[in-house]
Amino acid sequence: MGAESAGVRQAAVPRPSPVLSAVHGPALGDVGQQRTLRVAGVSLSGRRRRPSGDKPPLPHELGTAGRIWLAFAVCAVLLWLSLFVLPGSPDWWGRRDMGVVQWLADLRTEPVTTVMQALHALGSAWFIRPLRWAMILVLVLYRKWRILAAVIVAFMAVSLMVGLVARMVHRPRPFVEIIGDWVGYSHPSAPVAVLAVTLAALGLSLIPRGRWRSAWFVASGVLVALLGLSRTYLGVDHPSDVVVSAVLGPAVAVLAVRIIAPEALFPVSYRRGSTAHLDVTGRRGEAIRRALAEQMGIAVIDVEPFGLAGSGGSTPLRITVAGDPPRTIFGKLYAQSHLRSDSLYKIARTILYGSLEDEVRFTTVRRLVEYEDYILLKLKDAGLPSPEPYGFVELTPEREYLIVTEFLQNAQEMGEVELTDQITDDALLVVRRLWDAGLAHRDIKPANVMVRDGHVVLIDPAFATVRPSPWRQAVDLANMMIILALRSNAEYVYERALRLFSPDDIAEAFASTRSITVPTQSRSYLSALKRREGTDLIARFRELAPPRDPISIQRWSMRRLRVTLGAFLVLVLLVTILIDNVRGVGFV
Amino acid sequence: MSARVAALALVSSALVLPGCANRLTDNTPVCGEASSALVLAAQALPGTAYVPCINTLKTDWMYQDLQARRGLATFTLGSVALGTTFLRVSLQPDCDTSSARAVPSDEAGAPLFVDVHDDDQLRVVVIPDGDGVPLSVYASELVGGLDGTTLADRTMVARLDARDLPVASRADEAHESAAAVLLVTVRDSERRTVTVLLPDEDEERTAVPADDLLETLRDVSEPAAYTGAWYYPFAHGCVVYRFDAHGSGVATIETDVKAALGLYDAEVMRAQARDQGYDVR
Repeated sequence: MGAESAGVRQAAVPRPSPVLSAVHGPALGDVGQQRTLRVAGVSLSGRRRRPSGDKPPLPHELGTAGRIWLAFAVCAVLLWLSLFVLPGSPDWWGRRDMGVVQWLADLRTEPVTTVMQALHALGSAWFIRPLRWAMILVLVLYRKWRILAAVIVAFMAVSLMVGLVARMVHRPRPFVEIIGDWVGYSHPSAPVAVLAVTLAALGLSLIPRGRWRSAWFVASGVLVALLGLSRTYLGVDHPSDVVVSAVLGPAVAVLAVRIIAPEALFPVSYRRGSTAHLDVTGRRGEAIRRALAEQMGIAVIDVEPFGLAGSGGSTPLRITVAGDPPRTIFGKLYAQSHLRSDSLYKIARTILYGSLEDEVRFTTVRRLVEYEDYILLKLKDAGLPSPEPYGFVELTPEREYLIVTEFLQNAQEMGEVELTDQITDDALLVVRRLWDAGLAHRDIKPANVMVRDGHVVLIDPAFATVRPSPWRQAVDLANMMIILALRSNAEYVYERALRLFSPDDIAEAFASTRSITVPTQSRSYLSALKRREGTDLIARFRELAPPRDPISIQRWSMRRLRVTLGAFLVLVLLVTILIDNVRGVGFV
Repeated sequence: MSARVAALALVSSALVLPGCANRLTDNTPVCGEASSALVLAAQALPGTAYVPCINTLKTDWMYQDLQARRGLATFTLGSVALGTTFLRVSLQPDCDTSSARAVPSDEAGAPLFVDVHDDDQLRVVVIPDGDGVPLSVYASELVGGLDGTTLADRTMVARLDARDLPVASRADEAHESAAAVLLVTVRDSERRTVTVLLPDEDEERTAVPADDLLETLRDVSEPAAYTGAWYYPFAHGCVVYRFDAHGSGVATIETDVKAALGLYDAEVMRAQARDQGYDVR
């Protein structure tokens, strides 16, 4: 999750807070009535319950482009049905098709035939394969994995559908003199479908939305039309074979991209950085304002991304709210893309180490946000220093939520402060309290341990668990001692830790420590220290603590075996697909 | 129902429903009817006089899809007993029959040339290493016991090689004709054992009891095979059957294939297609 969080120094925005309740009586008694209050400098307008049937702040809609392509797909299906299923329709269409093919055949002249045969190359592997491989290469270079997956799925789906339909319809080639190359049954036209899906996927995956993409689609339409015309002229395809394929290819590409890598979550851009971050301008920005106003009664002045570099699993936001003076709160926006990245992360951990403990993935965004909100409240109830939680608001039911907390004004990361005895003791006391409350933070790293006014505040508890395994709690201690020692030395931290923990506790902590248990940020600091000074902090802590055998972190379960086997099969499939395609017998 | 589900339902129905479409309904090139497969095969080679087709397949034989492109149409047959692709049937513009021999054709309008390697025999050479009546008697007994025996669908052809030549040269000569060598010594004749030398193996199996000999040969011998090609050349085309059959069933493969497949007169097929409104060239 990352190094982000923060808020108003004084808890200013209520989850119906005692402050708010005190001002206007029962917290929800007059929800829906317009009012304006000022509490601790923050303006609060009236909250409003969304009546049944009203759209949520950010409704999940197909969008104009989606509607157009869906309409195209429906037309293609209707055309299909009319082509082959209705009584007498095959004959009717056959006559129309043959009329056009025969008319074009009658128009054949040598120069035109030469041109058409040249255009026919648009559907050849020599034209399409370089396009596809170039597209894949660019997506790999820019690490657009999700879009790459969508593109490959689109290619595979079109290949499968064309093959399947061709076998079911088994339509012969037009009954004219055929003067072009062809393979297999006539309907649908495989080269046209392949070219159409390739060009559409290229536009959707590589060209940012806007004028250039529109121009690309127009050009693509022209190319597909030229290929279709040439194939009809050469007597290779019927016009209906071409039309169905010309619609099928782009429709599949649009559907694949919309389902696997929606533009809103995975926009085409060539900037570096995490792709999990959402654009909070435009519709979504408005939705955030509306949701906070309606569901929490907060008037928002500005919303801006904040600390993106330290966050991969959500989109952290600094939200300026109306007040005198305006105040700041912290928000974390969660969407399905974050849920997916969380799922993949947990699957990878399960395969590598077994289920270290509760690594069961969240099935919906709502569950993920509810859990984080619950954990924030749990930390607060346990008296642990953490940002004041204000609850969360719904942008799109089950798909997008914004969790809101206090913004830690004037706070610094542990990695940036001058370490004092008080801060050291405070940090170790946080772990002691986590232990006593039956909690584990599970992501203790410099960016998540903030210092404000000389006191430690623990942020980003999204991975925290209640009643964790003793091993996990021990790892929390080790990680906290590591980040303290990074600002001092192992001997000092060990001595201070003995005030709150027994030597055996510390021995257990470092017997549990492995590379995987140390967060990436701490690990990189440890490596830098070792390179710079030759100091291995973890080894030094182990020397200071009583000897203890390493604690195995590998956990075997049926789930791990199933997940590993499944991942292996997927890998084999992908390698097979890759080899096939490199050899030129695959779908690319 | 969400737009996504609706789209999925539409696409699914579009994939399924056209199955009940074309008037040329059959996707299998069956002899006697102008099926889509036959028409497509004919389109691959405009003007062809014949198109390969299927009469009746044996119970465990499977037809695999017709693959057609400009200038070539092929389909394959598979079988549990003979191999997943034991026969590939092609319609092509011409064929080279120079290495094949003409045999009486089962098709009226097309001669048949065959170029096949029929490996349904298991050749065994018994080589006595030594002298004496008991050894000669033992070697002859082995030949008599093995010759004509059927083993894994292969008929054993056993002979005695008692020539006055070094054992190694007799064994090499036997191996050159892909025969297994059974080497027997006086000691073997006393113990009723044999040494087995196989053509493609360096290792020899010594002291194999005569009673276990059939079992040993069964384990080490390759299954019967029928490989090569049949050619049916005719005006504007040639139908080629390429065999790569191994296992039980090889003994009757020639008659089985002749019964299963045939050549369909393309003119008759075109006339049938015309009756259905398709003007096949």
